[in-house]
Amino acid sequence: MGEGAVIKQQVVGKPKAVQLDFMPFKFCPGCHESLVWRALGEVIDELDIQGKAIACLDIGCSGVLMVGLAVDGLHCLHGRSTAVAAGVKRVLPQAICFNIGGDGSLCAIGAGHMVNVMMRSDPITTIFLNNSGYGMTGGQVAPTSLIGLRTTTTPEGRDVQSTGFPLHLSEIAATMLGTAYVSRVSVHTPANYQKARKAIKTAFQKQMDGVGYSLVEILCACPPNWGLSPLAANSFVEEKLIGEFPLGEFKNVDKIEYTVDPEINRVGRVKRG
Amino acid sequence: MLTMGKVLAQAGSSHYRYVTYHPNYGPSMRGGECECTVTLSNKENTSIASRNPSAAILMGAGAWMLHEPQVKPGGLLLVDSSIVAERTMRDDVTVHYIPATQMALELGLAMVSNLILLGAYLEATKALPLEAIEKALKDKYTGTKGERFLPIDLEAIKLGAKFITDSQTGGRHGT
Amino acid sequence: MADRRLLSGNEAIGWGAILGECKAFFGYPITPQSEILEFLATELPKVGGVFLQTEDEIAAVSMVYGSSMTGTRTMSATSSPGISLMQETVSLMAYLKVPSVIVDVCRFGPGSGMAQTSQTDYRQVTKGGGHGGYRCIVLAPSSSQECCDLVQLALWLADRYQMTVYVLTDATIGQSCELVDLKTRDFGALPDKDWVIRGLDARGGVRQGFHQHMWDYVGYHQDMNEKYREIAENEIKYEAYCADDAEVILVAYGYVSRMAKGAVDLVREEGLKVGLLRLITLWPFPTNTLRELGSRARRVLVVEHSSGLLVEDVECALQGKVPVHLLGIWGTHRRDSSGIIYPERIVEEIKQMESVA
Ligand code: SF4
Repeated sequence: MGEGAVIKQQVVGKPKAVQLDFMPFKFCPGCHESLVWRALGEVIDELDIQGKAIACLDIGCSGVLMVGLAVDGLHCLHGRSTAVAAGVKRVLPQAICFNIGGDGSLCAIGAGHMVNVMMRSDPITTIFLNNSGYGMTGGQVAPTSLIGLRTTTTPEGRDVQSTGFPLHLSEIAATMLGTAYVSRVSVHTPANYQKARKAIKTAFQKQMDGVGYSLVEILCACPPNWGLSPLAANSFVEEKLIGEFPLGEFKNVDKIEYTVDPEINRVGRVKRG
Repeated sequence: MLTMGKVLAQAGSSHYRYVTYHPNYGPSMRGGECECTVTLSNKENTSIASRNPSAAILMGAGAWMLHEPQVKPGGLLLVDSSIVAERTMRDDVTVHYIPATQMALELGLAMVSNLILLGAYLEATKALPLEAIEKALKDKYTGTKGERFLPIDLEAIKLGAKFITDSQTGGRHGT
Repeated sequence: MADRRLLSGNEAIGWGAILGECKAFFGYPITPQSEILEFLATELPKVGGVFLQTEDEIAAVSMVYGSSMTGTRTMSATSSPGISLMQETVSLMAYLKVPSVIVDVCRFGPGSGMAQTSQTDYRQVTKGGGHGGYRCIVLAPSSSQECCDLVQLALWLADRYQMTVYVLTDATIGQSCELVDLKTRDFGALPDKDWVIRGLDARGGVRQGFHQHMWDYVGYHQDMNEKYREIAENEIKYEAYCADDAEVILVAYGYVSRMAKGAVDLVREEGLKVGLLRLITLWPFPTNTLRELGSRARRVLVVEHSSGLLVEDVECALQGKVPVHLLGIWGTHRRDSSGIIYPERIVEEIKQMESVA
């Protein structure tokens, strides 16, 4: 824009729920997390939940997302954001609690908490950013790393003999009775971005309707740690990441059906005061 | 053993100002050796338990070895002689050898041997009226699965007490 | 008439939580703590509180953190290995100044340990417990009554100073039953929780769990040192029993302090001038009181169910001016882990110590 230019009409802006002044912009060029950031901001605006949203930030690049959102939030330790969000929701059921974490947070160090919130059907939402490795610590192998992918701790490529097979969290989540909504999306094309936004919105909606736990897994590019240019990393998502982690809605229910067997309910040991 | 101690402590709660029940069991919570100390007093129980109690109810060989020498001089020893074969060499304590397990089996429930010994203890020490224990047992078991055993529990207490009165009047199984 | 009941220490802790208006409890079963969990599972929902048995102690303390940040009075209870597991978040809460109460019904360590009584966690909890050089207040009840009262005090102190307060007990205190007056304790007014996070609607202005010291660790530590000094000035608690004319001072806490009290009674009957300093706060530590009592005594005997942890703080307080003796774990009546230190054993130690002298 040349000197003296005047803005006549704003055709695009930042969502209300996105804040830019809290911390400097921190993502690497070509990182997909900034797109997730925007999508979250748009959904929070659309659902008008900025006032009751509580974000639980995990450790890792994804943690930066919270400080970019104009909502209340809690700073959590590595992997614990899931449990913290569940704790907040227990005592403050009217809040919209969500946590954001990467593959290290949610599939490795905090995997146990993930399985247990799904089991308990804690009505919280997890935004899971899967970029096939550890970003912030500099590109080590993650449970989600593609077989053969070179990382700083698998210099010859991920070797299944030693580091196993990629972990499919969404597929696991879909098998659990306590989950209301599970979806894997990406943001590498405008069309995919729209789908991702819709998935995040549905996930929050499930929480607002009290159905149960919701999970959105978002495939993200991490150009520096993949050693690719932003453009090449974008194509890598399309060509390789989606190959291992197919996109789609794995579960979407409006009510979790279950029964209590009265015969079972009569059995067990109870202590009397 | 622990149940007996807890029932005694509960019953003592309405008769004494200070009551302490101290259970102590071996490495696993279920089964294995265990012991407990009950202190009923109108003076503050400064310590939780004592190595030298004034009375001991012993229901096993291990308990005998550990506690028989420790009872205070002038104290009281009640021993389930169906299980413990030993006889004391001490002449500074009163001892009652009570075949409690045998008697409990005759009542139809081996489990109540502890209550037989508790009845004997109360008769020998007059620490509490028998009714206090009966009330504590009723409070504990009424409305639970244990309720059906209440009649036999109460009978066991009385039988234990009677054993002491009989022995003091020269009845069977005397010391 | 006051509600007076025969309660185990663990049940009394549960009652303390209820009377102290704790409104959320997150915990994981571990012997010898489980009765607290079982008690609150039944009782807390009756008073509108939240109870949850979590997948592990890490989740429990994470939820304590989340819940407490909303302004809810929250606590947890565990036993030694669980305390170790919780430390990462206890350290975080120290940094973010989050109130919490954590009960440690100590078991025998190290390792997975044994479920019987011991005092092997003294150093861990009195020195903060985890990384980063923080402190936590530590309260050590020695009876069921104190369990009930001190949990209430712990909840108050946590809110007053915005920090973690440990209540350190042991299996003997936890499982022994004594009569307890169930009374609500009032410790005075508390500052407003103007730091809570409950969503923008509750307040306006984004708040994300950071405080004025975010990333300013020097400032944080300086500020906290001020606070620690204030706590040490105001919150030290102990009981001096027959200590005024004592030539021998026993120092103990928890169940052992009760045995030591019994020992004082026994030797006083024989005319020996022995007294007891029973610690109620383990941190802050009554350094000045001990120094003062020590200056009048001939010797000090620390009794603790461990290899000698408390004794380090006692020696530090006495600055080498009075001989300090230790009756530790070898004073238990059985060699297996169910051994305890009886009053009579302490009496023997006092006599032996005095005769050798
Ligand atoms: S390291 Fe990877 S995930 Fe982290 S900001 Fe850079 S591109 Fe994004």
